[in-house]
Amino acid sequence: MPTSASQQLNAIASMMASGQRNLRMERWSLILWGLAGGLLFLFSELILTPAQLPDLHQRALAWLLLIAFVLGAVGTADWHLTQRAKQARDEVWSFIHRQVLKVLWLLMGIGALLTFAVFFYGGGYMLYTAWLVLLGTGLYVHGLFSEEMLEWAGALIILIGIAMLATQQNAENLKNIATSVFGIGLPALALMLDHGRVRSKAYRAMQTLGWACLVLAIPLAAARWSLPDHMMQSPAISLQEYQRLGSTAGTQAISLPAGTAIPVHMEITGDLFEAGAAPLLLPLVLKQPMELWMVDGKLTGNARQPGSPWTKGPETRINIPWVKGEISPQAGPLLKASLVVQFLPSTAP
Amino acid sequence: MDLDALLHQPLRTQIAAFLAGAGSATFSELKRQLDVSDGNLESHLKKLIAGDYLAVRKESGEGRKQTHYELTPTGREALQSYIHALQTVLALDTRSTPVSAPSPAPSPALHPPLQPV
Repeated sequence: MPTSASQQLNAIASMMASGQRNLRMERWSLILWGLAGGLLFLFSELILTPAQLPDLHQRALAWLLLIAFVLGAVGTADWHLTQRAKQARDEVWSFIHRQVLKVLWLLMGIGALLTFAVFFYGGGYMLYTAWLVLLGTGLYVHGLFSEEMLEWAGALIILIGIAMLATQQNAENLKNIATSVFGIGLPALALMLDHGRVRSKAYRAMQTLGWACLVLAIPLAAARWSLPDHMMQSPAISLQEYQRLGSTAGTQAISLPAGTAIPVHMEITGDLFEAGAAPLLLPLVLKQPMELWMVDGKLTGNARQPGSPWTKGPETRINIPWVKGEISPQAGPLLKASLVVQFLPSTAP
Repeated sequence: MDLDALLHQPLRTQIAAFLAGAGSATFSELKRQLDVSDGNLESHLKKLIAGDYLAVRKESGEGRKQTHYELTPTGREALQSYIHALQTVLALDTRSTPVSAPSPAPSPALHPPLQPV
């Protein structure tokens, strides 16, 4: 009796767990959502650009409508396919499934509104991370009621999103990783679903590691291989040498030592200030040495710090943490601001 | 210790436990989950329904009509009492068994000693 009582209790616990986790993630759901998200990220810099839609409000609205249309279309297609499959299997939309779907739609709604808000309130650098964290949260929540693998993948996607910010990846890498997680990672995850079979933690960890290698290796390798071979070895010439040669044809690497004057021409718009008669110039000085890559006299966007590998499209992050207004009888009105300009070298391998 | 006669049968315990976790399920879902024949499942479902442990709900959405089974409050309470009774049996035995005695590894499968009612 005691043995059977113990076994009975285990069996009841096991069956209740099966009941609680009887949600099923359909393979096509991951493929549909993954491809839609991946394509949106991939073409995000080619469609609805400032050149195509100069007005900020129109551009923000166009993006919101595009995201809403894509999410709506994919969501409807997914719902119909799932409905058909459930009918074929004589399954019902369980209470848990309906609640999880609501959470997923809520997360996607947050993502769409966040994208819209970024046009007005800034923070675009965090957008890719935000979408990854939302995706990871959605998969994790679904995994709690369906498959362990989704839980693992969801948690890992959240970590990838946070790690992208922590390692200060440039926008190109952020976009590529997000594209890869959606476009490659979700279809790959669809192939790894095993209808909630019980596996050891080591097995799940290995699966998750393999999946992480797949989604991270491709974008990081792409960032590395997109640089021309000759850039790897080329020595940089000094600014004086460049000025002495006077030639702008071909490819050149220019070295700018720390202390080089970099006048920054400012263009000011908005309804509060205008530049006045004189050109607005910030007489800045380079704080650390830099090498820049030029082709036919034009900067390519490739740069590095001396001794570091060349990176494609490194970026500067500009932040104005505070602006303070003063007015005094002696000096009159005065506006003080703090400007933080950070160089974000790509951390591509 | 009196155990609930209706639940003290492996298949019926499994049905009740699965529905306690899932909320509701169709006949096909239960059949797939428990891996039993139609006739066997049907006869046990009828017993649980007759004991007011299960409720049947028919839904006609798109396509054919679907029949859902779910635990009634009586069934849910009975399952809780049954689990509590099993825990009591186990606790009583643990107290009376010497510490050094080897205990067999628990298995997730329901055990044959439990006789069908």
